[in-house]
Amino acid sequence: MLAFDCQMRQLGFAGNQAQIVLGLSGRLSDSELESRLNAIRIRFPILAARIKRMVHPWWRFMSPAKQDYPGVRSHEAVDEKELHSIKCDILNRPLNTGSGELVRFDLIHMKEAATEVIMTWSHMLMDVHGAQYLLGIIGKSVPAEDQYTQADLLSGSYTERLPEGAKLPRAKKSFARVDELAAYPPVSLYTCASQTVFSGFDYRVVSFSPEQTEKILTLAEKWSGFLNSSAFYAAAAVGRFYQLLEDRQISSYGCVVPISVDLRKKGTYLPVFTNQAATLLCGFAPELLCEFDAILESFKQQTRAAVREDLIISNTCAMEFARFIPARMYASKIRKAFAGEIASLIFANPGTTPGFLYEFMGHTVKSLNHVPTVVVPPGMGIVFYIFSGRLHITLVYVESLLVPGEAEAFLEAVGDHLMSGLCGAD
Amino acid sequence: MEYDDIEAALLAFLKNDIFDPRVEINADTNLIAAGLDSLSLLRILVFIEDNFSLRIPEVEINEERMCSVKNMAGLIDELWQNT
Repeated sequence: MLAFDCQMRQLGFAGNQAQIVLGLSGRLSDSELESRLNAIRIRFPILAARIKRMVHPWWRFMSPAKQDYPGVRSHEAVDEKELHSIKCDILNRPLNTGSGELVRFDLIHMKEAATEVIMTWSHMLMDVHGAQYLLGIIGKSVPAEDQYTQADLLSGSYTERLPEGAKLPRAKKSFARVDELAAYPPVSLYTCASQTVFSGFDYRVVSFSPEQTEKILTLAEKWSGFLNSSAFYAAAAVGRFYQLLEDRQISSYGCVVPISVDLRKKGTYLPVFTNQAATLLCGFAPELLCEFDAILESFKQQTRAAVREDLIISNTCAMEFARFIPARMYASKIRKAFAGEIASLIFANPGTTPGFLYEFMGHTVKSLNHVPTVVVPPGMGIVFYIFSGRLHITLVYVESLLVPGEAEAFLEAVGDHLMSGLCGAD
Repeated sequence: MEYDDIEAALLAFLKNDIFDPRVEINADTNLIAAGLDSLSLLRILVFIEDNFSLRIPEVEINEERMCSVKNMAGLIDELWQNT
């Protein structure tokens, strides 16, 4: 059974893992972090709650004495090669969500007294914005972090503000959109490789200098509009992905790219323990995939239409129903419409790192990386984010889909695209 | 519609639909610094289209025009005068 089906049948929504990797300037000891986590888990027992599902999913809180999570594990790395190998091992180690392991910490100590802190969490607990804020609370860098109780940080669904009667028609609208996209069903590398099991995830990160980042952002504003760099990034990634399909002589009916959208009210990271990320499905017919500006224009049009037709909230309603009715209905609907695929490539842009993540438990944070895992299929995802004035791109993929050299070439090509802003004459 | 009505309508939309109630928003607040993102901007543009029957030209969608309610209301007023 594919991982997506497995998660959907069990939980009613995908609970894939994600990571934030903080590179600290000094050595953070296991005992320091453990002691801090002991205090945090008493304040927020949801960090070790068990999700139960009868008809409705619900959290079962354990008493602090019975909580084993979040745990801290320690590693030593002597060089970059060993560091990457340890990181991949951590990425591929599943969380034991059934017994309450929703968050895990790994510390990797380096020779030069630096430490990498890896927080791995399940999306069923929180989205990336919640995770950043939780790290800020743990790292004592969020102002007035002690004023919040679990009740302040916990929220139900983002569709709470909709009247009950409005949800079903919206969910139907979302399914209708899936049917529309099915005219050009997604092609992923995973299904074309006819694999039913995967070996594990690997990832590569590319970083740009502040000057290069400035140039990319200027080009993004020029070609995709103000505050709309996501469109520029996504067009470059989709264009390069299509090129990869072409190189492998895989005939493409189209690409479907789910774009992660943050539904939080702006100006706050609260609530923390909730997943307020919704999905905007963008579909690209093959004739649109050859030209960067055609992809970009199509992306802009689809985003605008999605806002006008309320498709983002419709998607959340569909997911909401998937949690309360037999979840397999949603999974089977998607699989039937898309002939077994879920999407071609997962895309996310968490944006600029908040200021409170530049320090963690008294240490300066020198680097920050986002590393998601991606449901299979498509088993491949790309994340864009800015830390310390530098744009970073993480490409995560199932090992058997790409060799590391191909992943690096993919990122290099996306980077070249962004730097040259290939959209007609400059 | 008068300038004050445009400003009031925009402010009400931003307070109710875009920003967290804990965030203080007035006509001069820098919306970008307050956390406005691409989706929120798109929602504002659709709100303007629906409520003022105006489509903001792409060239006018920039930091200067979109950074505050005052500037947005000024732009809408200007476009109205010219139609």
